[in-house]
Amino acid sequence: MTNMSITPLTKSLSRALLVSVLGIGSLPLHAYLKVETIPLPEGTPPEIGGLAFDPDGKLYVATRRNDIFVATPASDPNAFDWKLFASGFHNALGMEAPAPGRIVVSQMAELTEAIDTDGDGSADTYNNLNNEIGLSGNYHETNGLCPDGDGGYFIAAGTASHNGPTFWKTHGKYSKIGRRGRNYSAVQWKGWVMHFKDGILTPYASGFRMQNGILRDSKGRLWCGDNQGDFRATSPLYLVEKGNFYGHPSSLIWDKNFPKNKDPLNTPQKELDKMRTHATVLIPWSEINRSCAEPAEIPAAFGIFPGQLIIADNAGARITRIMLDEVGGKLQGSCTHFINESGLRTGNNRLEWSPDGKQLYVGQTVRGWGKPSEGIQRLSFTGKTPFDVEQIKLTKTGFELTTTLPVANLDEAEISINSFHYQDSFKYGGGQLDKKTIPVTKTAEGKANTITIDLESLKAGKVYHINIKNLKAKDGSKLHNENFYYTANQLHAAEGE
Amino acid sequence: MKYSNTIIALLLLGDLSYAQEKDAKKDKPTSIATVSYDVHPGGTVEKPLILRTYCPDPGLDDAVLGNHGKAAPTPKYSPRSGKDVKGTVQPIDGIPAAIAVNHGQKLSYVWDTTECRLLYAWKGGFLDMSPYWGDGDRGQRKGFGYTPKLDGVLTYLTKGYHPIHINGKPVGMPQYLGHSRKNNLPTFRWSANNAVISTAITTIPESADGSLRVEYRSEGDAIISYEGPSGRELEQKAPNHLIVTIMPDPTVAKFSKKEEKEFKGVTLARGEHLFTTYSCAACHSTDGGKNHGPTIKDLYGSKRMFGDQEITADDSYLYESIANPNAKIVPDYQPNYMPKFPMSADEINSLILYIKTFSKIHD
Repeated sequence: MTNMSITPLTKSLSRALLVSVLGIGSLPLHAYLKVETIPLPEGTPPEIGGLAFDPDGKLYVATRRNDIFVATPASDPNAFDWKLFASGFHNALGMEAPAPGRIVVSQMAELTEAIDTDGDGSADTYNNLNNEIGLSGNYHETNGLCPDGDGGYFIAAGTASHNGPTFWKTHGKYSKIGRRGRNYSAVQWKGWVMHFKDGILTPYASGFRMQNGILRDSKGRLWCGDNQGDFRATSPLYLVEKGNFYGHPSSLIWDKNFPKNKDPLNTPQKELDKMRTHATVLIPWSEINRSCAEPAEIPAAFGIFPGQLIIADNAGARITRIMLDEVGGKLQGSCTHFINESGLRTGNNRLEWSPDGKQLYVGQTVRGWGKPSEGIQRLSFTGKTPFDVEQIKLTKTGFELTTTLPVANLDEAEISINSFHYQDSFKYGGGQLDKKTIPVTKTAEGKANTITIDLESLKAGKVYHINIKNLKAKDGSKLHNENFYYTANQLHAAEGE
Repeated sequence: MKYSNTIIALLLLGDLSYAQEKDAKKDKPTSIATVSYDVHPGGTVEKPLILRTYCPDPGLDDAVLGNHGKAAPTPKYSPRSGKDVKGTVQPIDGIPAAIAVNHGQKLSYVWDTTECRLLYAWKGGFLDMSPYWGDGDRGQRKGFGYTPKLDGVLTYLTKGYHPIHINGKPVGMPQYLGHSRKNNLPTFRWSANNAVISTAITTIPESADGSLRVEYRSEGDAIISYEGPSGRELEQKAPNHLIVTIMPDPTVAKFSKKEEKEFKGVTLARGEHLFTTYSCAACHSTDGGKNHGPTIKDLYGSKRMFGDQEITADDSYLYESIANPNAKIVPDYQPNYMPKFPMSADEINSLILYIKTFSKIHD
C-alpha cells in the first residue's frame, strides 16, 4: 500500500484484499450495496415470513413454523439480542408492529394481534382481530399484510394450489365451483385484497393469484406483485384500486356482482381481458423476477433511488427496481435489477426498512422451492453511486433515460430495442410473444444526465426491452444494469390530438 | 379477574409439583425458540408448547365440526387443456384452524378456533410434523397432504354437538376471540349466544393417566351448563363457572395404533414398544421409585397382600392387572387411575415378557 505507482491491476487486487480483510469478500468491486447476513437464534429454522419495526425501533421477525422473535438492531449483525416475543403462529406471512409490544400478524387462519400487556417482553394476550377469510386446508392460502394509513389494514389473500388438496372440513364456507382449476378459491376471499378496519372486513379488489406481499406507499397508493402461473404470463406489479379485477378468475366466485349462473373458470379469456385492470409494470420472469414477493418504497434517507419501488424475488438472488412513469394520467413503467447476486441470497420474501431508512432488511425463505437459502440479510448503500439508469420516461417518439452519473460516450454505445407482449391464459406462464427489433432512429444527450432514444415506431400494449452496451460514465464506470423493460400500456397522445 | 388469576396460579402450582416427576423423556427446546428443525416438537408441563398448525382429524364426527364448511370431491383439472378431465380429487382429513398444545409426554390436545371447543387429547407424544415441515432443514412438505401425524395414544375424542349450554341453550355459531397465556398455559376466549366464555384445559396434577380438567367461565352472569356425554365429573362452582373432568377413554386409543400392526405374536420387542407407546413409565417406575402405580422393578414373582390374602405376582396376576386394572388394587394406591387399554392377549402377554425383564426371578 505504500507503493505510490500502482498499476490498475495491482490497485484492484489491493482493493480486493482490502474488502476481504473487511470481511465482505464476496462484494464485487462495482457493488453499491453492502450486504450483511444477520443470524437468528441458534437452532431456529430461519424461514422468514414477516419483518416489522415497532415505533421504538425494535425489529420483530416472524418465522414460518411458530415463532416471533424481537431484537434491538445492532451495527454488528452478530450482536442482535434476540428474544422470543410470541409463538403459536401458523405460517405468518404478514406482520406490522403498530406499538411497542404489540404486533398484528396475518397467519393462515386469522389476523391476530399479540400484545405484551405486562411489559415482561413477551406477548401474553392474543386477540383474533378477524377470521372471516376462510382456510381450506391447502398449503398455499397465505396472507400478506400492510397498514391502510388510517388504523386499518389491507390483507392480500392468495389462492390455493392444485398441487395440494383441501380438507373435508374447511374454515368458512366451501364452494365446489371455486375449488376447480389450477389455483383455486374454494373458500372465501382467496385471490382478493381485503380491507380490515374497526373489526370489519370488506372486499377491496379481486383477480389475484398469489400476491405475496402488499405495500401502501408514501403517496397512499397500494401495490402488490403476483406470481407467474395460470392467468399470469409473467410476474406483474399491480396498482391495487378499490373494485378492480386483476385477471385471475377464481376469486370471482365470491364477487357478489359476478353473475351467479356463471363459472369464473370457463369465462372466455377475451371477456376476462376486458374486465381486468392491467399490470402497471410487467416484469420478465426469467430475466428480472421469477416470484414477486413483497414490494417496498426506497426512503430518501437510503441514499439512492429515492421514492422508487423495489420488489423482492422469492426465487432468485435479486430484488427488482421499478421506475414509474405517468402517461395519459395513468401509471406504468419499467424495471431492472436493484441488486442481482452481489452477496444477496435467494428466497427474498419480505422487505422492511430500518426506522432511519438507511438499511433494508430482507427476510428470506424458500419453502422447498430450490436450494435452502433462508434468513435475514441487511442492505445498505455504500455511498458509491453506481452508473445506472435511474429513470425511464416514455416520450412521443421513444424514451428518455436519466442516468445517475454524466454519460461519457453515447456515440460508442450500442442501444437496441425489442418489443413483445404477453398474453395471460389458463396455461401456466407465457412467452414473450411477437418479438420484434424496433429500429433506433436517433440517440442524443439531453439535459444533465439524460439520453433520448427515438424509435421508428411505438405501440401501446407492448413491453419494450432496452439493451445498452458499452456505455460509460464520465468517471469511467461501466453501466451497472444493461437491460430495462418498459411496459407501455398507454402512449402519449400524438401532436394535435 | 383477580379470582381467575388465583385459579390460574393454583393450577400452576399443581403443574409445578407434577413437573417434578420424572418424565420418561425430557423435552426440547434448548434455544429460545419454541420449535426447531426437529419434526417432533414438544413442550413441557412447566412450559407447554402452543403450536398453530394444520391438525390431524382422528375421526371426529360431523356434529363436532358443524360450523365448518363441507368440502366435496372435485373434478380433476388439466392445467394443460384448461378443462376438467376424468376422475376426481378427494379432500383429505384435517382441521384447518385449530391450536395444538403439548404439555410434554402426558398431555397434548387440540382446541379448535372454528368450533371453539376441545376436539381431542392424547399422550405419549405430540405431532410428527414431517408431512408439513419436511425432514431436517429442507423445509419441504412430503407428499400431497400436509397434516402432521398424531404421535402417541389418543385418550379423548369429543363427540356430538358442543357440550356446553349457555343460559339453557345450545352453543350457536361460536366466535373465537383469542386467548391469554400465563407461562404458555392458554385460556381460550370465545363468544356465543351473546355471552363471552373462557376455556382453560389442564392436566390433573395428581393423575398421570391422561385425565383432563376443562374449566369454563362466562364473563358476566350467563349460566353455563354441561349437556355433553355422561360419565364426566362435573363441578359447578357457580352458575357461570363449571369444571368438567374427563377421564381417558380407552376405546378411542385405536385411532393412533396403526403402528402396532408391525408387531405379531408375543415378543419382548413388542412389549417394550407397548410400554413406551402407552407411557406406562409415567405411572410405573422401572427403578423402584414410587409413583401413581406400583413399580415394575422386582414385581414379577413378588408377593403382596390383598386383605388377608397373599398373592404372587405371576403371569395370571399381571394379565388380570393389565386387562382389568381395578380387579386388585395394591394397598396405598388408588382405584380408577389406570385405564383399560384396548390391548389384545398377545399384546398383554408381550408386556408381561417386558415386565419380567425387571425382575431377578424368571420362570
